Amino acid sequence: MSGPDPGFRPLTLTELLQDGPLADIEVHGPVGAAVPVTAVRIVDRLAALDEVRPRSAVVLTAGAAAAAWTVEMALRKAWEQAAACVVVSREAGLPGSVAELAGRLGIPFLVVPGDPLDAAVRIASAVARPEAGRTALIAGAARQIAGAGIRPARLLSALHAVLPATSVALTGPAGELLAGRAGALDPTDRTARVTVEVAGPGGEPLAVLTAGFRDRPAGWEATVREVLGLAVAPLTAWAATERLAAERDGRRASGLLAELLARYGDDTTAEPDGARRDPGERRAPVGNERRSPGADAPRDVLEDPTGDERRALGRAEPNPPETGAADPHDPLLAAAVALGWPLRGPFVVHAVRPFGPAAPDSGPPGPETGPLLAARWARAGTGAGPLIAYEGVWVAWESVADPDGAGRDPLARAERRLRAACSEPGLPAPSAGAVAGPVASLGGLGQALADAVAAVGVARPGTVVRADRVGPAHLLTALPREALRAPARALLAPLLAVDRDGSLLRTLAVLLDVGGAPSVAAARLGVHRNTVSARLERLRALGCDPDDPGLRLPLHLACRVQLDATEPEVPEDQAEPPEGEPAG
Amino acid sequence: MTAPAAGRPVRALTVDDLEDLAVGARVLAAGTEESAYHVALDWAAAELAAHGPVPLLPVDRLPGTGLCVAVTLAGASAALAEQLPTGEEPVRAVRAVERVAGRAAEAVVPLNAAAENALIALATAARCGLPLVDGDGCGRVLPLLEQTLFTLAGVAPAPLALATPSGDVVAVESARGRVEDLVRPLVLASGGWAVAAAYPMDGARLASCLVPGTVSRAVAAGAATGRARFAPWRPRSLCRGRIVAVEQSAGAYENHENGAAGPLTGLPGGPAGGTAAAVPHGTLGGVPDRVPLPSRPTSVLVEEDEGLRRRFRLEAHNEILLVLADGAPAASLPDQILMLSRTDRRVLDVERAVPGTAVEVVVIEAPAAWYTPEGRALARTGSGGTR
Repeated sequence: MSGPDPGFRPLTLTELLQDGPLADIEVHGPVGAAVPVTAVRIVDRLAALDEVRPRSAVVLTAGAAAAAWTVEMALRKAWEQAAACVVVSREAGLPGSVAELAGRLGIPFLVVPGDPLDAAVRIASAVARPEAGRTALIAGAARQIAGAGIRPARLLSALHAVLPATSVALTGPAGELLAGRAGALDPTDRTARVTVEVAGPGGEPLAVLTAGFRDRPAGWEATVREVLGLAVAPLTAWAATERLAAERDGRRASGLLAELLARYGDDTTAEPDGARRDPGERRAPVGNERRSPGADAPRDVLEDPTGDERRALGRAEPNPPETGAADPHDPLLAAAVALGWPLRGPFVVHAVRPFGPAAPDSGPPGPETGPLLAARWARAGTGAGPLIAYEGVWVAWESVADPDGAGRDPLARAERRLRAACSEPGLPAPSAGAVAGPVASLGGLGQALADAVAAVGVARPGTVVRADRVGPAHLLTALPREALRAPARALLAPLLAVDRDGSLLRTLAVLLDVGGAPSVAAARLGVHRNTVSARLERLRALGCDPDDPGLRLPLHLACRVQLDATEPEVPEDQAEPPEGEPAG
Repeated sequence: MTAPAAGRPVRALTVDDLEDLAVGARVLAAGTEESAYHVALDWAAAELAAHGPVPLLPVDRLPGTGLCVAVTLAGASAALAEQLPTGEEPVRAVRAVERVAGRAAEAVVPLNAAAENALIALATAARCGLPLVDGDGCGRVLPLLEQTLFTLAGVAPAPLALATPSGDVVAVESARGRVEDLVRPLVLASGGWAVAAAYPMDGARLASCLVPGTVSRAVAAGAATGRARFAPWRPRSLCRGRIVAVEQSAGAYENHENGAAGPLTGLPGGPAGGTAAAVPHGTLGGVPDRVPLPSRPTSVLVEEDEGLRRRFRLEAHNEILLVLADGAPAASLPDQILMLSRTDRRVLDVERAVPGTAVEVVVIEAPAAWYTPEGRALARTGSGGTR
């Protein structure tokens, strides 16, 4: 007789239980143990127990199963002989005390319906061809997963149904639990763990599937990995579906963002990147009343997985579900992960304000410009998540938790990249940009978004401002120019009537900018000081005296508005007023 | 009657000793029928009072060639209280055996020294004016007439004589193996009990197969109190714990066959509960294989209070046949296994085991002959009070 094939993996008890050769069985004692089953031994009298070899499945029949004490002796003997398990028919009608002894001794004890010899035959056939059982497991898993659709909660239920005594969790990039059981992540609870990356529709890391289990036989990891792999494609499809829906209807993403901010964005203690903590510590989810009316997206993943899991686990649950099995994870986070929103701080916020039809402030983004802008945005490679309509502008944020980027200014990098993106010729409309942050976590996101939105309001098309460096010129340019244009023109009407080349208007503006000092103004205008003095005389004659305190501010505003309308934008760094020049 | 050999004086059992014997003979017998026991006690006391003290023959003083006769109560002890003895039964039975044997008896030996059997043997000796042998044929309680060390030594119970309270005397001469079958219907027909005189044999033969000293041991135990009362039997404690459950057992003790290998050879074998009457007799040593027992097989689960906190399963059918500690055999027939109440150290009857009771399980070793393969086989053939 030739030796065993070196690649041969014997059937394990777990596989025996889950592959279904034994239907409707009760299992007592430890089934999670790494127990290979290499033989079947039918025992009809107790004396035969002495011949039991290690790793055998001991099937008790006739006299050996006749009474509680014979089965207890068989359990003891099987335990001493290192048998894999003891099988007895339910018809033996054994009291619960026998099963308790199996638990005490730590030997798996299987109570099967019907004829024990029938079970013996089925175990023997499974033992003879362990690969067939394994293939059956994978096939069964594929069937279950195909039937579960693409929703994470249902997929995780299906995984739990096909992987007994194994906890599976779906976590986002920040480690936050999206679906499944937190027990899979507990480092002390489980001894072995398998993780499988789930890529997003664009190939980017989307989420991680983690399976945790106790001392399992060799090969179980590979089986788990294979089964988890079956769930990757549906999860990617889920993310793609969510994103498609979000892009088709911008309000969906906006609503989700509002809800995310309501739940996490204004509370620094509720950070989802602390998801590895006990979920019970997290603040209870807010009720429906805080969900914005348009936020219908999260409901898709609100299903409670536990009910499905319990039903799917109609077969014997070998271990009682550990605490945390029905973990109250936040479906909101799952929706955010599906849409590709970064959830791991620190964050830098980007805001984009298109000038033209893509602006989101005239109601929801149009069906044609929103997707176009989003597509351009995705291609621009700013590193930030997708654009979301928020407070009349488009916002996005990126995770800047880059270990080797430590020490560099993440905001400067973001500003650079956003400027490149905003000046891209392919954008449907000229855009202004702003960056804000960084903030450590979702708790600061709301404030950073507000900063970015305020900053982008004062940015000119094609430029990008940093929210932390908004200066006086930005404040001025933030004025409602369209509204002020007519009054400005009226105030300056006498001047404009005579100012053919605009030199008077420019001189007035510069004089006001520099505090009325003619020599400074002359230097800035590149003319002689006397020219400035002469123009100042004419300005006074036209009723536009920059030294008149009552007129100074209105005139300055009118100049700005009028110049904006007639001249191209002055580069910001040159628009800064010179420092320290005293008024002449 | 041969005079005792010279040496130390032979002790004589007096009425005072009877009190101790009565207590000591009952120490290990949990399920003694109270009224029958008192009848036997009164009977023995009356005979002692009428005929004086009875010499107690130690094994080295047995009459070498003199006839010795074993005496016991046959039938249900409860019947003894319903149909009171006339007092003539023992002497009639002994005389009947003497007639068949063709010579006079010189000593009376108890077939077993437990409960009323010891007292009736003493009454017989007193009434017949014979000495009582300090020893018995079992060394522990076993239910069938054939379940004795005499049988193991090749001594047949027949010729045997029964004397009933109605005045009948029946002498039985039988080929081996049919005595129990013949005796039981006779006893039932005659009111439920009879005094049996059996195993007539020479003193020398008796000395070779007797369990010596059991009468004086019972007297000593009866004189002691507390823990010391058990001391003569040298009990070994199996566990101290609490009864956690009492289950009805499927029994199934018959599924142990002869020659079971390894550690299972020490297992009890016995009648199948309930259906036993329909089971054909085996040929084990010529002894009927199965006898119906009045009680149901019972499992008592005891959880250890200390140490490994093992869980003990006590399989009982009339007496405790087997003890498993976490599934491993800890004691079995022919060991005598007793459940003692931890509050008063009395033997607890299995029939009255109640969850929550604090108990100590102790084992008393049977005489060595019972541990031979033949001894185990004979001990397994029946258990329960049918004698």
